[in-house]
Amino acid sequence: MTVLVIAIALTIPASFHVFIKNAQQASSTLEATNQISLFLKPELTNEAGGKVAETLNKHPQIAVAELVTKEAGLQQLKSYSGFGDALQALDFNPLPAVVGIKPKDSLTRPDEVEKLLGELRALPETDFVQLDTEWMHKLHAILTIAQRSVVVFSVLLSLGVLFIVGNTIRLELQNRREEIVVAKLIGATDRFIRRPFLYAGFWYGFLGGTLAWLLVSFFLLFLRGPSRHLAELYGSPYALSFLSLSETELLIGASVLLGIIGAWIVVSYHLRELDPT
Amino acid sequence: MLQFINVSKRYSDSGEVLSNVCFQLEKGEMAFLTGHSGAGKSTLLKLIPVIERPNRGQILFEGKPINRISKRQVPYLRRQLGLIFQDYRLLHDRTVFDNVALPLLIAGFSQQETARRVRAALDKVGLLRKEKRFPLALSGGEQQRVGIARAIVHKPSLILADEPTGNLDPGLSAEIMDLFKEFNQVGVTLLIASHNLDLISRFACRTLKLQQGQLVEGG
Ligand SMILES: Nc1ncnc2c1ncn2[C@@H]1O[C@H](COP(=O)(O)OP(=O)(O)O)[C@@H](O)[C@H]1O
Ligand SMILES: [Mg+2]
Repeated sequence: MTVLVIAIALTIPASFHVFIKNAQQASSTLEATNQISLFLKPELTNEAGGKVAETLNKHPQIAVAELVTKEAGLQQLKSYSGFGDALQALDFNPLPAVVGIKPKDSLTRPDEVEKLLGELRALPETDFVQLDTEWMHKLHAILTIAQRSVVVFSVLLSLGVLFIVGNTIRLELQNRREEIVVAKLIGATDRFIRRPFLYAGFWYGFLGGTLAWLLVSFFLLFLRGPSRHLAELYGSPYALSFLSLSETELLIGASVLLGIIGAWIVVSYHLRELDPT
Repeated sequence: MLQFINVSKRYSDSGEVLSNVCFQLEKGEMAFLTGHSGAGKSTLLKLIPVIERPNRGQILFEGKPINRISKRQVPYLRRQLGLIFQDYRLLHDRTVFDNVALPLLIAGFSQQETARRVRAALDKVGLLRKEKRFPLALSGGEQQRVGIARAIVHKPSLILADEPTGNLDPGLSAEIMDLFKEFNQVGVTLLIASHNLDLISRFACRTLKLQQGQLVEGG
Protein backbone atom coordinates (compact mmCIF):
# COMPACT_ATOMS: atom_id res chain seq x y z
CA MET A 1 0.00 0.00 0.00
CA THR A 2 2.68 2.46 1.08
CA VAL A 3 4.84 1.34 -1.83
CA LEU A 4 2.00 1.97 -4.26
CA VAL A 5 1.32 5.46 -2.92
CA ILE A 6 5.01 6.33 -3.09
CA ALA A 7 5.15 4.96 -6.63
CA ILE A 8 2.20 7.08 -7.72
CA ALA A 9 3.60 10.18 -6.05
CA LEU A 10 6.86 9.70 -7.94
CA THR A 11 5.30 8.62 -11.22
CA ILE A 12 3.50 11.94 -11.60
CA PRO A 13 6.58 14.21 -11.79
CA ALA A 14 8.70 11.54 -13.50
CA SER A 15 6.24 10.99 -16.34
CA PHE A 16 5.62 14.70 -16.63
CA HIS A 17 9.38 15.08 -16.94
CA VAL A 18 9.76 12.46 -19.70
CA PHE A 19 6.75 13.88 -21.46
CA ILE A 20 8.37 17.31 -21.58
CA LYS A 21 11.74 15.86 -22.46
CA ASN A 22 10.20 14.06 -25.42
CA ALA A 23 8.21 17.09 -26.47
CA GLN A 24 11.40 19.13 -26.45
CA GLN A 25 13.28 16.59 -28.50
CA ALA A 26 10.36 16.33 -30.88
CA SER A 27 10.12 20.09 -31.28
CA SER A 28 13.84 20.39 -31.93
CA THR A 29 13.78 17.72 -34.65
CA LEU A 30 10.81 19.46 -36.18
CA GLU A 31 12.56 22.77 -35.97
CA ALA A 32 15.16 21.44 -38.34
CA THR A 33 12.43 21.55 -40.95
CA ASN A 34 11.84 25.24 -40.27
CA GLN A 35 10.82 26.99 -43.39
CA ILE A 36 10.69 30.68 -44.17
CA SER A 37 8.53 31.88 -47.02
CA LEU A 38 9.50 35.21 -48.55
CA PHE A 39 6.66 36.57 -50.63
CA LEU A 40 7.94 38.83 -53.40
CA LYS A 41 6.26 42.01 -54.50
CA PRO A 42 3.74 41.14 -57.25
CA GLU A 43 5.23 43.46 -59.85
CA LEU A 44 8.61 41.71 -59.72
CA THR A 45 9.69 39.72 -62.76
CA ASN A 46 10.81 36.14 -62.60
CA GLU A 47 14.40 37.15 -63.35
CA ALA A 48 14.43 39.65 -60.49
CA GLY A 49 12.98 36.93 -58.25
CA GLY A 50 15.68 34.53 -59.37
CA LYS A 51 18.34 37.10 -58.44
CA VAL A 52 16.91 37.47 -54.97
CA ALA A 53 17.04 33.69 -54.50
CA GLU A 54 20.61 33.64 -55.78
CA THR A 55 21.78 36.31 -53.33
CA LEU A 56 20.02 34.67 -50.45
CA ASN A 57 21.68 31.34 -51.28
CA LYS A 58 25.00 32.97 -50.38
CA HIS A 59 23.74 34.21 -47.03
CA PRO A 60 25.75 32.51 -44.22
CA GLN A 61 22.67 31.45 -42.26
CA ILE A 62 20.68 30.08 -45.13
CA ALA A 63 21.05 26.55 -46.44
CA VAL A 64 18.82 26.72 -49.50
CA ALA A 65 16.79 29.48 -51.07
CA GLU A 66 14.63 28.49 -54.00
CA LEU A 67 12.35 30.56 -56.14
CA VAL A 68 8.87 29.28 -56.76
CA THR A 69 7.51 31.40 -59.62
CA LYS A 70 3.89 32.42 -59.89
CA GLU A 71 3.36 29.83 -62.61
CA ALA A 72 5.06 27.03 -60.73
CA GLY A 73 3.07 27.93 -57.64
CA LEU A 74 -0.18 27.70 -59.52
CA GLN A 75 0.91 24.38 -61.00
CA GLN A 76 1.68 23.01 -57.54
CA LEU A 77 -1.58 24.23 -56.17
CA LYS A 78 -3.48 22.61 -58.99
CA SER A 79 -1.84 19.23 -58.54
CA TYR A 80 -1.77 19.15 -54.70
CA SER A 81 -5.14 20.50 -53.82
CA GLY A 82 -8.57 19.65 -54.93
CA PHE A 83 -9.03 23.17 -56.27
CA GLY A 84 -7.83 22.27 -59.73
CA ASP A 85 -11.11 22.98 -61.49
CA ALA A 86 -11.89 26.10 -59.58
CA LEU A 87 -8.47 27.53 -60.37
CA GLN A 88 -8.96 26.68 -64.02
CA ALA A 89 -11.90 29.06 -63.99
CA LEU A 90 -9.64 31.98 -63.03
CA ASP A 91 -8.35 33.99 -65.95
CA PHE A 92 -5.45 35.49 -64.04
CA ASN A 93 -2.88 34.08 -61.62
CA PRO A 94 -3.59 35.30 -58.08
CA LEU A 95 -0.46 33.82 -56.58
CA PRO A 96 2.66 35.78 -55.71
CA ALA A 97 6.15 34.49 -56.40
CA VAL A 98 7.73 33.01 -53.30
CA VAL A 99 11.31 32.30 -52.28
CA GLY A 100 11.29 29.22 -50.08
CA ILE A 101 14.12 29.53 -47.59
CA LYS A 102 15.58 26.77 -45.48
CA PRO A 103 17.88 28.16 -42.79
CA LYS A 104 21.00 26.25 -41.74
CA ASP A 105 20.47 23.71 -38.91
CA SER A 106 22.78 25.75 -36.72
CA LEU A 107 20.19 28.48 -36.65
CA THR A 108 18.08 27.55 -33.65
CA ARG A 109 18.14 30.50 -31.26
CA PRO A 110 14.93 32.48 -31.52
CA ASP A 111 16.73 35.84 -31.44
CA GLU A 112 18.97 34.85 -34.37
CA VAL A 113 15.97 33.65 -36.33
CA GLU A 114 14.29 36.95 -35.58
CA LYS A 115 17.36 38.83 -36.81
CA LEU A 116 17.36 36.92 -40.08
CA LEU A 117 13.64 37.60 -40.52
CA GLY A 118 14.35 41.30 -40.00
CA GLU A 119 17.00 41.26 -42.72
CA LEU A 120 14.64 39.53 -45.11
CA ARG A 121 11.82 41.96 -44.38
CA ALA A 122 14.16 44.85 -45.09
CA LEU A 123 14.86 43.67 -48.65
CA PRO A 124 13.30 46.02 -51.20
CA GLU A 125 11.84 43.09 -53.15
CA THR A 126 10.03 41.69 -50.13
CA ASP A 127 6.29 41.97 -49.84
CA PHE A 128 6.08 40.04 -46.60
CA VAL A 129 7.90 37.26 -44.79
CA GLN A 130 6.31 34.34 -43.02
CA LEU A 131 7.96 31.92 -40.63
CA ASP A 132 6.05 28.69 -41.06
CA THR A 133 6.85 27.44 -37.58
CA GLU A 134 6.39 30.46 -35.41
CA TRP A 135 4.14 28.45 -33.14
CA MET A 136 7.14 26.22 -32.43
CA HIS A 137 8.81 28.97 -30.44
CA LYS A 138 5.76 29.49 -28.36
CA LEU A 139 5.72 25.76 -27.69
CA HIS A 140 9.36 25.99 -26.71
CA ALA A 141 8.63 28.70 -24.19
CA ILE A 142 5.71 26.76 -22.79
CA LEU A 143 7.87 23.65 -22.43
CA THR A 144 10.51 25.60 -20.54
CA ILE A 145 7.89 26.84 -18.10
CA ALA A 146 6.49 23.32 -17.79
CA GLN A 147 9.95 21.99 -17.02
CA ARG A 148 10.34 24.46 -14.17
CA SER A 149 7.00 23.41 -12.83
CA VAL A 150 8.20 19.79 -12.82
CA VAL A 151 10.85 20.86 -10.33
CA VAL A 152 8.24 22.44 -8.10
CA PHE A 153 6.03 19.38 -8.47
CA SER A 154 8.89 17.06 -7.60
CA VAL A 155 9.67 18.97 -4.44
CA LEU A 156 6.05 18.94 -3.30
CA LEU A 157 5.53 15.28 -4.08
CA SER A 158 8.85 14.41 -2.41
CA LEU A 159 7.48 15.99 0.74
CA GLY A 160 4.44 13.81 0.16
CA VAL A 161 6.65 10.72 -0.01
CA LEU A 162 8.40 11.74 3.21
CA PHE A 163 5.03 12.08 4.83
CA ILE A 164 3.75 8.72 3.57
CA VAL A 165 6.84 6.84 4.72
CA GLY A 166 6.86 8.73 8.01
CA ASN A 167 3.24 7.92 8.64
CA THR A 168 3.68 4.23 7.86
CA ILE A 169 6.70 4.04 10.13
CA ARG A 170 4.79 5.87 12.84
CA LEU A 171 2.03 3.24 12.75
CA GLU A 172 4.64 0.50 12.83
CA LEU A 173 6.27 2.19 15.84
CA GLN A 174 2.93 2.28 17.60
CA ASN A 175 2.39 -1.43 16.95
CA ARG A 176 5.79 -2.21 18.36
CA ARG A 177 5.64 0.23 21.24
CA GLU A 178 5.88 -2.40 23.96
CA GLU A 179 8.77 -4.09 22.22
CA ILE A 180 10.67 -0.81 21.99
CA VAL A 181 10.09 0.04 25.63
CA VAL A 182 11.32 -3.40 26.70
CA ALA A 183 14.32 -3.19 24.39
CA LYS A 184 15.23 0.20 25.86
CA LEU A 185 14.87 -1.18 29.39
CA ILE A 186 17.35 -3.91 28.71
CA GLY A 187 19.96 -1.66 27.17
CA ALA A 188 19.13 -1.11 23.51
CA THR A 189 20.69 2.03 22.08
CA ASP A 190 18.59 4.39 19.96
CA ARG A 191 20.66 3.27 17.01
CA PHE A 192 19.72 -0.35 17.57
CA ILE A 193 16.03 0.53 17.75
CA ARG A 194 16.21 2.85 14.77
CA ARG A 195 17.98 0.40 12.49
CA PRO A 196 15.08 -1.89 11.46
CA PHE A 197 12.91 1.15 10.79
CA LEU A 198 15.58 2.65 8.56
CA TYR A 199 15.72 -0.66 6.67
CA ALA A 200 11.95 -0.51 6.30
CA GLY A 201 12.24 3.08 5.01
CA PHE A 202 14.91 1.94 2.56
CA TRP A 203 12.70 -0.83 1.19
CA TYR A 204 9.63 1.36 0.93
CA GLY A 205 11.69 3.89 -1.00
CA PHE A 206 13.40 1.32 -3.18
CA LEU A 207 10.25 -0.58 -4.09
CA GLY A 208 8.25 2.64 -4.54
CA GLY A 209 10.94 4.09 -6.81
CA THR A 210 11.24 0.89 -8.83
CA LEU A 211 7.49 0.67 -9.24
CA ALA A 212 7.40 4.33 -10.32
CA TRP A 213 10.05 3.53 -12.93
CA LEU A 214 7.93 0.66 -14.22
CA LEU A 215 4.83 2.84 -14.34
CA VAL A 216 6.66 5.54 -16.31
CA SER A 217 7.98 2.92 -18.72
CA PHE A 218 4.50 1.48 -19.21
CA PHE A 219 3.19 4.95 -19.79
CA LEU A 220 5.81 5.48 -22.49
CA LEU A 221 5.18 2.11 -24.13
CA PHE A 222 1.57 3.07 -24.27
CA LEU A 223 2.48 6.30 -26.09
CA ARG A 224 5.03 4.78 -28.42
CA GLY A 225 2.61 3.70 -31.18
CA PRO A 226 0.78 7.02 -31.52
CA SER A 227 3.97 9.07 -31.25
CA ARG A 228 5.70 7.11 -33.99
CA HIS A 229 2.70 7.73 -36.18
CA LEU A 230 2.90 11.44 -35.39
CA ALA A 231 6.60 11.56 -36.16
CA GLU A 232 6.03 9.89 -39.53
CA LEU A 233 3.39 12.45 -40.35
CA TYR A 234 5.90 15.21 -39.84
CA GLY A 235 8.59 13.28 -41.63
CA SER A 236 10.81 13.48 -38.59
CA PRO A 237 13.32 10.79 -37.60
CA TYR A 238 12.25 11.20 -34.03
CA ALA A 239 11.95 8.21 -31.63
CA LEU A 240 10.38 8.28 -28.17
CA SER A 241 13.04 8.33 -25.47
CA PHE A 242 12.67 6.52 -22.16
CA LEU A 243 14.21 7.39 -18.80
CA SER A 244 17.97 7.40 -19.20
CA LEU A 245 20.22 5.45 -16.85
CA SER A 246 21.11 8.54 -14.85
CA GLU A 247 17.46 9.57 -14.62
CA THR A 248 16.58 6.07 -13.42
CA GLU A 249 19.32 6.28 -10.82
CA LEU A 250 18.07 9.67 -9.73
CA LEU A 251 14.48 8.45 -9.44
CA ILE A 252 15.27 5.33 -7.42
CA GLY A 253 18.07 6.99 -5.46
CA ALA A 254 15.88 9.92 -4.46
CA SER A 255 13.10 7.54 -3.51
CA VAL A 256 15.41 5.45 -1.32
CA LEU A 257 16.80 8.58 0.30
CA LEU A 258 13.31 9.93 0.97
CA GLY A 259 12.31 6.59 2.52
CA ILE A 260 15.30 6.56 4.86
CA ILE A 261 14.98 10.23 5.80
CA GLY A 262 11.23 9.87 6.45
CA ALA A 263 11.87 6.89 8.72
CA TRP A 264 14.74 8.65 10.48
CA ILE A 265 12.72 11.76 11.29
CA VAL A 266 9.74 9.86 12.66
CA VAL A 267 11.74 7.34 14.69
CA SER A 268 14.00 10.00 16.20
CA TYR A 269 10.99 12.08 17.10
CA HIS A 270 9.06 9.24 18.72
CA LEU A 271 12.00 7.56 20.45
CA ARG A 272 12.07 10.36 22.99
CA GLU A 273 8.50 9.83 24.07
CA LEU A 274 9.00 6.07 24.25
CA ASP A 275 11.36 6.42 27.17
CA PRO A 276 10.41 3.80 29.75
CA THR A 277 9.07 5.58 32.79
CA MET B 1 28.81 -2.42 44.35
CA LEU B 2 25.81 -0.14 44.86
CA GLN B 3 25.71 2.87 47.12
CA PHE B 4 22.96 5.45 47.75
CA ILE B 5 24.14 8.66 49.41
CA ASN B 6 21.42 11.03 50.65
CA VAL B 7 19.24 10.32 47.66
CA SER B 8 16.00 12.27 47.31
CA LYS B 9 13.44 12.08 44.55
CA ARG B 10 10.40 14.23 44.05
CA TYR B 11 7.67 14.06 41.45
CA SER B 12 6.04 17.34 40.59
CA ASP B 13 2.57 15.93 41.27
CA SER B 14 3.23 13.78 44.34
CA GLY B 15 5.92 15.65 46.22
CA GLU B 16 8.95 14.00 47.76
CA VAL B 17 8.78 10.23 47.25
CA LEU B 18 12.26 9.41 48.55
CA SER B 19 14.03 11.46 51.24
CA ASN B 20 17.70 11.22 52.06
CA VAL B 21 17.99 7.51 51.36
CA CYS B 22 21.39 6.05 52.31
CA PHE B 23 22.43 2.42 51.99
CA GLN B 24 25.09 0.22 50.49
CA LEU B 25 24.82 -3.15 48.81
CA GLU B 26 27.88 -5.40 48.69
CA LYS B 27 28.89 -7.70 45.87
CA GLY B 28 27.23 -11.12 46.25
CA GLU B 29 24.56 -9.81 48.60
CA MET B 30 20.86 -10.56 48.36
CA ALA B 31 18.61 -7.92 49.92
CA PHE B 32 14.88 -7.28 50.10
CA LEU B 33 13.30 -3.87 49.81
CA THR B 34 10.00 -3.69 51.66
CA GLY B 35 7.40 -1.18 52.67
CA HIS B 36 3.75 -0.45 52.13
CA SER B 37 2.36 0.21 48.74
CA GLY B 38 3.33 3.76 47.81
CA ALA B 39 6.37 3.79 50.10
CA GLY B 40 8.68 4.41 47.15
CA LYS B 41 10.12 0.95 46.42
CA SER B 42 9.56 1.08 42.68
CA THR B 43 10.86 4.62 42.52
CA LEU B 44 14.05 3.60 44.31
CA LEU B 45 14.62 0.72 41.90
CA LYS B 46 13.98 2.95 38.86
CA LEU B 47 16.84 5.23 39.87
CA ILE B 48 19.40 2.49 39.30
CA PRO B 49 18.81 1.85 35.56
CA VAL B 50 18.22 5.63 35.17
CA ILE B 51 14.55 5.23 34.29
CA GLU B 52 14.24 8.15 36.69
CA ARG B 53 16.95 10.44 37.99
CA PRO B 54 17.24 11.63 41.61
CA ASN B 55 16.79 15.30 42.49
CA ARG B 56 19.47 15.22 45.17
CA GLY B 57 22.18 12.89 46.40
CA GLN B 58 24.48 10.46 44.68
CA ILE B 59 24.17 6.91 43.47
CA LEU B 60 27.36 4.93 42.91
CA PHE B 61 27.31 1.75 40.87
CA GLU B 62 30.64 -0.08 40.75
CA GLY B 63 32.14 3.18 42.00
CA LYS B 64 30.68 5.33 39.19
CA PRO B 65 28.16 8.11 39.90
CA ILE B 66 25.23 6.99 37.76
CA ASN B 67 23.07 9.97 38.70
CA ARG B 68 25.32 11.98 36.42
CA ILE B 69 25.87 9.74 33.39
CA SER B 70 24.81 11.03 30.00
CA LYS B 71 21.82 9.77 28.07
CA ARG B 72 24.13 8.04 25.60
CA GLN B 73 25.71 5.96 28.33
CA VAL B 74 22.43 4.77 29.83
CA PRO B 75 22.02 1.73 27.51
CA TYR B 76 25.49 0.48 28.45
CA LEU B 77 24.70 0.86 32.15
CA ARG B 78 21.45 -1.08 31.69
CA ARG B 79 23.34 -3.95 30.08
CA GLN B 80 25.13 -4.47 33.40
CA LEU B 81 21.79 -4.90 35.12
CA GLY B 82 19.12 -7.59 35.03
CA LEU B 83 15.59 -6.23 35.39
CA ILE B 84 12.63 -8.34 36.51
CA PHE B 85 9.11 -6.91 36.50
CA GLN B 86 5.85 -7.73 38.24
CA ASP B 87 4.06 -8.03 34.88
CA TYR B 88 6.99 -9.91 33.23
CA ARG B 89 7.05 -7.58 30.19
CA LEU B 90 7.59 -10.35 27.67
CA LEU B 91 7.10 -9.87 23.94
CA HIS B 92 4.08 -11.93 23.00
CA ASP B 93 4.90 -12.25 19.33
CA ARG B 94 8.24 -13.89 20.02
CA THR B 95 9.05 -17.35 21.28
CA VAL B 96 10.47 -18.01 24.73
CA PHE B 97 13.87 -18.48 23.10
CA ASP B 98 13.72 -15.16 21.29
CA ASN B 99 12.52 -13.33 24.40
CA VAL B 100 15.46 -14.61 26.40
CA ALA B 101 17.85 -13.90 23.52
CA LEU B 102 16.87 -10.22 23.34
CA PRO B 103 19.58 -8.82 25.69
CA LEU B 104 22.24 -10.75 23.76
CA LEU B 105 20.89 -9.54 20.43
CA ILE B 106 21.06 -5.98 21.72
CA ALA B 107 24.59 -6.45 22.97
CA GLY B 108 25.64 -7.96 19.64
CA PHE B 109 26.52 -11.54 20.62
CA SER B 110 27.16 -14.10 17.89
CA GLN B 111 24.38 -16.53 17.04
CA GLN B 112 26.22 -19.51 18.44
CA GLU B 113 27.09 -17.82 21.70
CA THR B 114 23.50 -16.55 21.95
CA ALA B 115 22.02 -20.03 21.50
CA ARG B 116 24.41 -21.48 24.05
CA ARG B 117 23.68 -18.83 26.66
CA VAL B 118 19.92 -18.79 26.12
CA ARG B 119 19.76 -22.57 26.61
CA ALA B 120 21.90 -22.31 29.74
CA ALA B 121 19.59 -19.62 31.18
CA LEU B 122 16.45 -21.55 30.28
CA ASP B 123 17.98 -24.64 31.87
CA LYS B 124 18.53 -22.71 35.11
CA VAL B 125 14.86 -21.73 35.32
CA GLY B 126 13.69 -25.19 34.21
CA LEU B 127 12.14 -24.18 30.88
CA LEU B 128 14.57 -25.71 28.44
CA ARG B 129 11.86 -27.83 26.83
CA LYS B 130 9.55 -24.89 26.23
CA GLU B 131 11.89 -22.66 24.23
CA LYS B 132 9.69 -22.78 21.13
CA ARG B 133 6.49 -21.82 22.94
CA PHE B 134 5.00 -18.36 22.95
CA PRO B 135 4.69 -16.58 26.32
CA LEU B 136 0.89 -16.58 26.36
CA ALA B 137 0.90 -20.38 26.10
CA LEU B 138 2.67 -20.54 29.49
CA SER B 139 1.37 -20.22 33.05
CA GLY B 140 2.08 -17.06 35.06
CA GLY B 141 4.85 -18.79 37.01
CA GLU B 142 6.45 -19.99 33.79
CA GLN B 143 6.19 -16.55 32.22
CA GLN B 144 8.02 -15.04 35.18
CA ARG B 145 10.71 -17.70 34.78
CA VAL B 146 11.14 -16.57 31.20
CA GLY B 147 11.46 -13.01 32.52
CA ILE B 148 14.11 -14.19 34.97
CA ALA B 149 16.00 -16.11 32.29
CA ARG B 150 16.04 -12.93 30.22
CA ALA B 151 17.39 -10.98 33.20
CA ILE B 152 20.29 -13.39 33.85
CA VAL B 153 21.22 -14.46 30.32
CA HIS B 154 23.82 -11.71 29.85
CA LYS B 155 25.34 -12.33 33.29
CA PRO B 156 24.62 -8.89 34.80
CA SER B 157 26.43 -7.77 37.90
CA LEU B 158 23.22 -6.76 39.67
CA ILE B 159 19.68 -8.10 39.42
CA LEU B 160 16.78 -5.79 40.29
CA ALA B 161 13.33 -7.31 40.77
CA ASP B 162 10.22 -5.20 41.38
CA GLU B 163 7.47 -7.31 43.00
CA PRO B 164 8.52 -10.36 40.99
CA THR B 165 5.88 -12.52 42.66
CA GLY B 166 3.16 -9.88 42.83
CA ASN B 167 1.00 -11.70 40.29
CA LEU B 168 1.69 -15.25 41.50
CA ASP B 169 0.06 -17.49 44.09
CA PRO B 170 2.05 -18.37 47.28
CA GLY B 171 3.32 -21.72 46.01
CA LEU B 172 4.73 -20.30 42.78
CA SER B 173 6.05 -17.25 44.66
CA ALA B 174 8.09 -19.47 46.94
CA GLU B 175 9.53 -21.33 43.95
CA ILE B 176 10.60 -18.06 42.35
CA MET B 177 12.23 -16.89 45.59
CA ASP B 178 14.05 -20.22 45.89
CA LEU B 179 15.37 -19.64 42.40
CA PHE B 180 16.74 -16.24 43.47
CA LYS B 181 18.36 -17.84 46.49
CA GLU B 182 20.05 -20.38 44.22
CA PHE B 183 21.44 -17.61 42.04
CA ASN B 184 22.68 -15.80 45.12
CA GLN B 185 24.48 -18.92 46.28
CA VAL B 186 26.57 -18.87 43.11
CA GLY B 187 27.51 -15.23 43.70
CA VAL B 188 24.81 -13.16 41.98
CA THR B 189 23.91 -9.82 43.64
CA LEU B 190 20.17 -9.18 43.96
CA LEU B 191 17.89 -6.39 45.19
CA ILE B 192 14.27 -7.52 45.37
CA ALA B 193 11.35 -5.21 46.13
CA SER B 194 8.37 -6.93 47.72
CA HIS B 195 5.67 -6.05 50.21
CA ASN B 196 5.01 -9.74 50.93
CA LEU B 197 6.49 -9.99 54.43
CA ASP B 198 5.51 -13.65 54.92
CA LEU B 199 7.53 -14.65 51.92
CA ILE B 200 10.53 -12.52 52.91
CA SER B 201 10.58 -13.82 56.45
CA ARG B 202 11.38 -17.32 55.15
CA PHE B 203 14.80 -16.10 54.04
CA ALA B 204 17.51 -14.93 56.36
CA CYS B 205 18.31 -11.95 54.18
CA ARG B 206 19.00 -8.32 54.79
CA THR B 207 15.82 -6.26 54.55
CA LEU B 208 15.67 -2.56 53.68
CA LYS B 209 12.42 -1.04 54.84
CA LEU B 210 10.97 2.13 53.30
CA GLN B 211 8.31 4.16 55.05
CA GLN B 212 6.93 7.21 53.28
CA GLY B 213 10.14 7.61 51.37
CA GLN B 214 12.48 7.21 54.31
CA LEU B 215 14.69 4.22 54.90
CA VAL B 216 13.73 3.14 58.41
CA GLU B 217 15.43 -0.25 58.60
CA GLY B 218 18.46 -2.05 57.17
CA GLY B 219 20.27 1.06 55.85
N1 LIG C 1 5.80 8.83 37.52
C1 LIG C 1 5.26 9.29 38.68
N2 LIG C 1 4.78 10.54 38.73
C2 LIG C 1 4.25 11.02 39.86
N3 LIG C 1 4.16 10.32 40.98
C3 LIG C 1 4.62 9.07 41.01
C4 LIG C 1 5.20 8.48 39.85
N4 LIG C 1 5.59 7.21 40.14
C5 LIG C 1 5.26 7.03 41.45
N5 LIG C 1 4.68 8.13 41.96
C6 LIG C 1 4.24 8.29 43.35
O1 LIG C 1 5.32 8.03 44.18
C7 LIG C 1 4.93 7.32 45.32
C8 LIG C 1 5.76 6.07 45.45
O2 LIG C 1 5.42 5.17 44.41
P1 LIG C 1 6.19 3.81 44.15
O3 LIG C 1 7.62 4.07 44.11
O4 LIG C 1 5.55 3.16 42.99
O5 LIG C 1 5.85 3.00 45.48
P2 LIG C 1 5.82 1.43 45.73
O6 LIG C 1 6.52 0.77 44.62
O7 LIG C 1 6.53 1.27 47.03
O8 LIG C 1 4.41 1.04 45.82
C9 LIG C 1 3.43 7.07 45.17
O9 LIG C 1 2.75 8.01 45.94
C10 LIG C 1 3.17 7.28 43.72
O10 LIG C 1 1.88 7.82 43.53
MG1 LIG D 1 5.83 -0.65 43.23
